[in-house]
Amino acid sequence: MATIVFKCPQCGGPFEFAEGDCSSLCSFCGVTSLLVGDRGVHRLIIPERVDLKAARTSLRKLLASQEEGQAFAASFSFSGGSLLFLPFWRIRGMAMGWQWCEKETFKEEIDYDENGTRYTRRVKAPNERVFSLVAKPLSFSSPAGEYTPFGMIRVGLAGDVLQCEPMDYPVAAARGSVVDPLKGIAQARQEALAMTRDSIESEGVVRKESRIRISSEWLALLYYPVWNLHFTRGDRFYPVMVDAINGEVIKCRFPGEKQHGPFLPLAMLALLVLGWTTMPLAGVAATVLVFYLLKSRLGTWDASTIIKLLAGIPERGAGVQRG
Amino acid sequence: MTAKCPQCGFRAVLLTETSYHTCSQCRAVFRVYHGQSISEQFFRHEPDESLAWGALLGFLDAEGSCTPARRGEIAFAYHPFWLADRTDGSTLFKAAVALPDSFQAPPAPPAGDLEFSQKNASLSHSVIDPQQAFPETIELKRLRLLQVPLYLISYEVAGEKYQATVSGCAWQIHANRLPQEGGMHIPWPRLTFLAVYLTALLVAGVLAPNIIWRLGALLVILLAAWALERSGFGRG
Amino acid sequence: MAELAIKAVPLICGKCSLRMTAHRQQVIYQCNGCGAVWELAQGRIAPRKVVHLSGNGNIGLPFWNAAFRITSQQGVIADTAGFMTLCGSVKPPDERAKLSPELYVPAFALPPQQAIRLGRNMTVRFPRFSESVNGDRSFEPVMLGEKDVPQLAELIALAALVEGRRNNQDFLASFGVELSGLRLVAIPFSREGNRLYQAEMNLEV
Repeated sequence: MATIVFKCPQCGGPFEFAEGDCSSLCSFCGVTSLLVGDRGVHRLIIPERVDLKAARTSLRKLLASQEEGQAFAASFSFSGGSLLFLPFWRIRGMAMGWQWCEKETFKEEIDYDENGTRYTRRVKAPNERVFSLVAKPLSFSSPAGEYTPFGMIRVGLAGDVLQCEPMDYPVAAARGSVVDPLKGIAQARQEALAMTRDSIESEGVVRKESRIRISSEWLALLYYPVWNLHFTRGDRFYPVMVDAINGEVIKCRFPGEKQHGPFLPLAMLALLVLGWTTMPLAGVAATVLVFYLLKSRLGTWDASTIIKLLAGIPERGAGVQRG
Repeated sequence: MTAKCPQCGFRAVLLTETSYHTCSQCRAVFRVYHGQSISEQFFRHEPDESLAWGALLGFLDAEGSCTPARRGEIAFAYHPFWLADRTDGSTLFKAAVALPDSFQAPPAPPAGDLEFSQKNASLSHSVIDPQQAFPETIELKRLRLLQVPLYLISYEVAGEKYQATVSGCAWQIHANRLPQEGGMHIPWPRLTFLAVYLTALLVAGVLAPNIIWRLGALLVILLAAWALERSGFGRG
Repeated sequence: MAELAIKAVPLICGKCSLRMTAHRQQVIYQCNGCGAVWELAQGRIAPRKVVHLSGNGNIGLPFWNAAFRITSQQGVIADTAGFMTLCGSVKPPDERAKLSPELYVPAFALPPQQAIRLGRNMTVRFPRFSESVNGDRSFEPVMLGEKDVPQLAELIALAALVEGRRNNQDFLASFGVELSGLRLVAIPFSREGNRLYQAEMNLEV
């Protein structure tokens, strides 16, 4: 659950609302205030906790923890970044209604086999019709648009540590880009109710009917900050998304590629030619040295790997991928 | 007929039967469809073809494509899409103008910063009717026209031609067909460079009168070749 | 778009300017000084009418009260006699048979299942209260807003029906409750230790 930090309309002091609350008491002046959203929707923003430098550091740490990470970190260069505020629908309340279902039932019957041994068998009994009232607390969040390119499918609101502020569009737009919601509240409500319906036990149900609505609804459009970083390597461009609250890399896709420098193959060829054009014994020594270098750098004497080294073809690895 | 501007709410009297209007108060353009005002919005985006090409290359790399891609034509434009909210709460997203053949349209509306369109010649304003875009008989609660920045890129890999659509909003790649991974691309320029280098080494090694001259000559050739490599020569 | 998309409205009585206190989930507010009742409407504090009903008791419990009719595949049931038939009960005395049945929906803090049970028990007793001459008495905080009443009302009406009706899929799919004359009432209950008791209805919460 998130808390909303607001300014008291009486004394101007900071006071807090918990998500879902209608009112809160200011501890400075003792006035209780009601929180009113624009057309019933509380538009809130979570201020970013991670700055651009920290976001880049987070990515460097991720790459360093991977097998080919050091090579990646050296070969990519940072070319810019911006802050995005992604809107999520947040619904709290009570999902109330009813559900009717027809369930398969089974009963156990005692029978005897040809040897007279007693055994129990499971036989189908008449279907059972069950009506039940549904009253479940609802706490639901859903992206207000298509955010899979950003690696975000939901926003996690952990306890007391996450504070929101009322959304101030000009101030937010000055810090980054405010993404507009494209999914309507009706769709978010449908998803919330579908989640409630799915959470009701349905084992053995052959058909069902339900009517569930949201009661005591508290609705918010929560803007979550995400860093959109751009990295380049040569003419290639790699976008990276970093969560601006916890600093976690949520989306990145770097190829697993190991490119060897040009000096080694050129030096090996020069060494071989020097050895063999001096004397046969020197040639043999040079060949042994070259094989040793290949083993220490490549880890193998595999012909295809050596050919790739000479031809400058990068080796394919696992790569680093998130989201 | 009167219609309400979807941006500022100003109610204007529409004197013509045309479906495309400009609000006299805020200059936003909007359409009127069956008496309903439909907003037209575009995603804010600074066109950059090199970024779009770089995004496609990065994507192909991550997909495992070994063979380098050769850049073809890149066409940037804002493409109009209908975004419809249905009465059952779901949304529909469809191109309001068909994309050229073999280019794939984004399947879902991208995420980005939207602005109301002003009268702007660079945005495509002739679009197909919503009824044509959504031919099934469905209840549409709200209609919007979104202008999406798209790069239509033609490229070639190992002699075969491909097309991809890159969305300017989040640099997403949409393509019907991608180059298949498989087979090693033979870097002829690199091999030619190596062949010339080896020849130079052998000639120097054979013709050098003694070990000192031989060492010096081979070292010079090595350093020259390395410098050329670093400058990109021989990579093709 | 609004520049500041949320605003805080101080809860100050419009009649006597006293500060009001409220539970976090409360939606209708009563001034402790003058007893005036307020609610949030269109972004500001607006007066709310509450009808105080007569009876014996030292604590007022708020309920939403409305006449209702049931729509189903069998048609519309708009009188008490018809409703009691659906509930499987004996018909009420003649003078009430043709009157519209009345629903009572608890508006104070109560777990949902208990609220439905209480509302059902009150509704099937079809009590007839008169208005109290002593207005502006205090009552328990109102936690259920007017817009959420139809939902709970439907569940209360369903809870009152005989089980056979509730297990009929076709009946349930077409079942609906329409309310009219919705009002907020305060009914006096007596607090006796841990329980709340309404003498006129012989009902305990």
